[in-house]
Amino acid sequence: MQFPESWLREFCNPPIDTAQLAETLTMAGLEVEDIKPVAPPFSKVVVGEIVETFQHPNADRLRVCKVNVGTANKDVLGNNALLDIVCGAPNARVGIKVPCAMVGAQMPPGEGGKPVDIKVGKLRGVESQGMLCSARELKLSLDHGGLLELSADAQPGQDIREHLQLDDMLLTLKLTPNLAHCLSVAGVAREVSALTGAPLKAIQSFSVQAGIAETLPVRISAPDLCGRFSGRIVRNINPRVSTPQWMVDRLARCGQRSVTALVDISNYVMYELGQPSHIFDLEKIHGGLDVRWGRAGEQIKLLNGSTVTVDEKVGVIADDVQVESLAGIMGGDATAVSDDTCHIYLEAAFWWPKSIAGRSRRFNFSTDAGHRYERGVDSSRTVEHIERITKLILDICGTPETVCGPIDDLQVNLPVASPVRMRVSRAAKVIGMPLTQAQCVQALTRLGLSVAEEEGVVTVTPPSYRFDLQIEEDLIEEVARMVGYNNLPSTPPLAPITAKIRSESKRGSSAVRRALAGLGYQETINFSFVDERWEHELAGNAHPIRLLNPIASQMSVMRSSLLGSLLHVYKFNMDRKNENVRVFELGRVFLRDISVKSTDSTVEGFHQPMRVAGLAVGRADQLQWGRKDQASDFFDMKGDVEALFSPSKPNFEPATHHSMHPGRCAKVMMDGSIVGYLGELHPKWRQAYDLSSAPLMFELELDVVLERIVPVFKPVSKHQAVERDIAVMVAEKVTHASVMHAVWAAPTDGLLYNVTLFDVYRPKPTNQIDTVTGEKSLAVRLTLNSDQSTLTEERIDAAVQAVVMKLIGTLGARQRV
Amino acid sequence: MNELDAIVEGSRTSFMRALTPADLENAKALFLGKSGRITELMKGMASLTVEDKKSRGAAINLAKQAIEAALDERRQALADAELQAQLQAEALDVTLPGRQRGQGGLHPVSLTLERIEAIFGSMGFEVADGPEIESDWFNFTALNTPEDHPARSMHDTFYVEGGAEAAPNLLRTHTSPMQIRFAVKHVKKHRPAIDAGQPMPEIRVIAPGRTYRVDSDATHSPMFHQCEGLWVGENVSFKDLKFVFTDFCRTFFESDDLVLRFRPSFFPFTEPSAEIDIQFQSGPLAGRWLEVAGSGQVHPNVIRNMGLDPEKYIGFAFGMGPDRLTMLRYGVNDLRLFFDGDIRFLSQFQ
Repeated sequence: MQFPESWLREFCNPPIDTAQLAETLTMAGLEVEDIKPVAPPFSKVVVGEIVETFQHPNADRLRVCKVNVGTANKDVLGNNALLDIVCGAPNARVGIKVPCAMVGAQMPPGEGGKPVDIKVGKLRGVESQGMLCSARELKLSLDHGGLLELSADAQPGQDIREHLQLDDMLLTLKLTPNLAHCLSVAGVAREVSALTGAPLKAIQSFSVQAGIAETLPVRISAPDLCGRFSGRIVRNINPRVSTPQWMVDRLARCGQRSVTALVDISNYVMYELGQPSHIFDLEKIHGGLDVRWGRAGEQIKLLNGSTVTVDEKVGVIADDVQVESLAGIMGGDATAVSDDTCHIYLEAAFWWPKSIAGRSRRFNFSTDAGHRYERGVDSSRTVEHIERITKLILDICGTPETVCGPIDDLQVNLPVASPVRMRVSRAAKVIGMPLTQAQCVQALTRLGLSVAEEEGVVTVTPPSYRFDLQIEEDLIEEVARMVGYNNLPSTPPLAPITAKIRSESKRGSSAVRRALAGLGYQETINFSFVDERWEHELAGNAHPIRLLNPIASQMSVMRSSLLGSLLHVYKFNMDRKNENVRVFELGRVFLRDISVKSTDSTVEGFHQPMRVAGLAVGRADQLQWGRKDQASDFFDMKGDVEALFSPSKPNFEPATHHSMHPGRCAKVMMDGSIVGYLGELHPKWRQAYDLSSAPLMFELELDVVLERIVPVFKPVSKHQAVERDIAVMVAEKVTHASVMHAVWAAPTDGLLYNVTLFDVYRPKPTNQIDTVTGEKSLAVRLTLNSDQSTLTEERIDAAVQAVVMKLIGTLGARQRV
Repeated sequence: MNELDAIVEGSRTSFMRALTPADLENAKALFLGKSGRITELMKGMASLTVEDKKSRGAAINLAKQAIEAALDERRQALADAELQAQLQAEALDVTLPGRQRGQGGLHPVSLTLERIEAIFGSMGFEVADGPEIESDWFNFTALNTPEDHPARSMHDTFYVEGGAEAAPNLLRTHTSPMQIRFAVKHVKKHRPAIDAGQPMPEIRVIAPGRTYRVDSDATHSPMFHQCEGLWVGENVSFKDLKFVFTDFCRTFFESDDLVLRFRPSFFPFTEPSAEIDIQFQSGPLAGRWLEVAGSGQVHPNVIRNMGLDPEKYIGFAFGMGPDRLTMLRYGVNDLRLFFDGDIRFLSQFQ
């Protein structure tokens, strides 16, 4: 909420400056979000009256004006003297009063931040003794339609800052939803008075004599919607008068543009006192009004031009024919006042906050009235406020024929203030500081609350403007606020010591991050909502989980894989000339899963596991001198994945994955389950996503990666192990896994401890035709040992022979000798 | 100089002339070999008297020992020289760069979360986790923010398909749902003790994670981080909140003169509530109040939703912005840099 400081000070004027006032409000929970001056600094600009104009002798577009600035300019004899000022504004004409910058004036700082000085100057040969100003030149608005025309009663020579009250500050408050009672200048003033002790100016009450007995028939059919409905008829007003300048200015300083006099008056009183009101065109109401819940399908065209359809949950004001207003939110177009409105019906009501709350959000707009009503508007003041509005209407739009009807005040369901008890001991316990009953009473009394006391308990009956005092904690908060949060004691808490540490069998995410960083990967954090295309193409997810209100189309679905995001990171960096990218992310993915029920840790229908994914492209090592420069390949990344799982040993099996090259993709298996994928980007996506190389990628279930085996001691063998190397020729299609499988399956009498592949060799074909022989030689090292005894050559040979025979028998291998 | 002295002197000279171990062995043979000078002298003693043999033998032995010492010395010198030559030949240009794959690193926000976890961990807080697609109940209703509560408009919520119309699914707008989820589980676990009138172990937990709101500009990202904190026990007060959070901030920023300001505010799930501002006393941001967290005493309705009696259990909760803490800690000036994936930016935090 924005308003000028001067208006607030009309109600309550504590002897503190703007900064102190703002600090006081902020520290009381009324956060002052912004303070800015109404106008930039400038000086020696006064009201000037153009008394004569002449055509400039040397320029068609310029005029020479004789300007009366009252006593601001005197001749040598001490008489008031007119100024000659050259001016090019199209509206410069005799009789208007405009801002006049005198010689020596400092104009507002320009783009460079330096103030501009006004000097005597010659424009095309004619001397100009100052400058007539537009609102834009004074930086009061962006309007540069011509000179700023001041009101006719402006006094020539008066400082323009004084005349326009420009030495004023605009305060913007960020009010939390509990502060309904501060949604008006008078409401803030009441709080300032409580905080500073400065007196609060009583709001003048008016009472307009009814000249006619006429009332509009009104029925409240929904007391749970509307507790009080007050209204009156006013006849024979002049709707075409313009709003007085002082009101236009004040509204502007509240950020509200002027509409018509009637609408402005209604808005003005809302900013002043917090009471929204509505003015109907009486002639357009069919019969009487019924305040009720809407009926499904009923439609109303609103003041803002949009048409909405209501239902039983939306309150309306209807006449005999149709819905004429959305209760507490916005009036209808059909009964809106216009330039031809002569007779009006003026209404101010109390709407129950719960019956208004959220309704305008449902229709996707918000109004000042709705904002106030859903937080709570004082139910006790509707009549007072109608009188205030009536007074302003009579003053501004009144004609000799204007007459008012009596105020018809229907009260069907007013809030009953229930007393709220607060135990002093409870307050002391919750706040954590010693408090006396007297302190509590004093704090609450300062807020203007009436307090009843008994031993150890204070009771407050909340006033009708406070909607936030309902339970004991509400009062505790008020006490804490008035005592001041700054005065809380700074003593450490007393708490039991209990050991809380992660299980050794599960490391934290941080350990995984550190491990990957150690392997050369840079962590990234990417949005959880992604381009739908990534889901279709890279995750093979035809029905990704959709956001109902995405911020942009490329962020419209929840990702079921982290790989798209990492590819995007690669592309981002590639476009910035970085072709060597090694990145990872730990993040949640989102999968539809009807087997997931609502529990203390899950949301029905969604499986939301954490994953860890990595991507590497470019050099395997940094650019360097000491090793062959080669690109990262599948086995570099496989080594990283193995390191990440270590000491657990996952299995890798050929697999397919939507995003990956079918011949260069493995699923990662632990205990028989797939826990992730590893592979090279499919060339078709490399092309489609405009990437210069195909990166290697992995994506793993984080939970499995976090698991650690708690080590269990095994005795170290007392005997020396022996190693034997064997080499076999096998067909190209024979995999390493099948070789290992065969080796381990060989009957080695339990002597085989370890086996490692250490060479792969493809012999050159002996003929001229083939380019490959279709065979490869694999060299493996067998480690043999026994817990019982030192191995004899016979047992060693037998074990090696068993391995060789197994390879020959199951894989068609030939031993190379 | 007598004959023996001359032989010893001669041996020294020939040993010095030997430049390789082989030369030296040849030189050795001239003196100590089968027909070497010393051997010859020994043979020549046969004709001497017993008395002369004794004195002559002793003299020859002395000479022999002197020759052997000279030989050892020369052998050592040659070995040393050989080693020196080898070492010189093996010398490297140690200024050549080491072989490495290149350094990775953590995201700056992860660094912050690590430190937050470590600091609160040292105060006995556990770390909790929870879903990011949340139900309306956990994100709002259980937190004393029923449907149509005006406070809901403080959060511009992303809605997710599925879910009932009255209870839509959404992306959590804050980490607070995790305090409910954790507390509910904790209370269920200790229900028998609570029902038996025994004290429940305190709830002390933080819950960091990603959160989402429909907002995007230089200071707002549609996805951002929060870290929730919750401490519920029989006597955990608003004053304790201020102490704990002050302690946290001073530890986090390693600044003992950091000043905290508690400012009254409103959150449906806490009362009394406070916004927490910090102020540095030195550095580029000195003197400015910077908002870092929302906090307060857990609202009695929320304590009830955890399954506890608010008369018996009270405590505090806070929600802070790790992204903002990261920006303040490392001087980052634009939130959007965190989520761009620009390695030139991210690699500064290794």
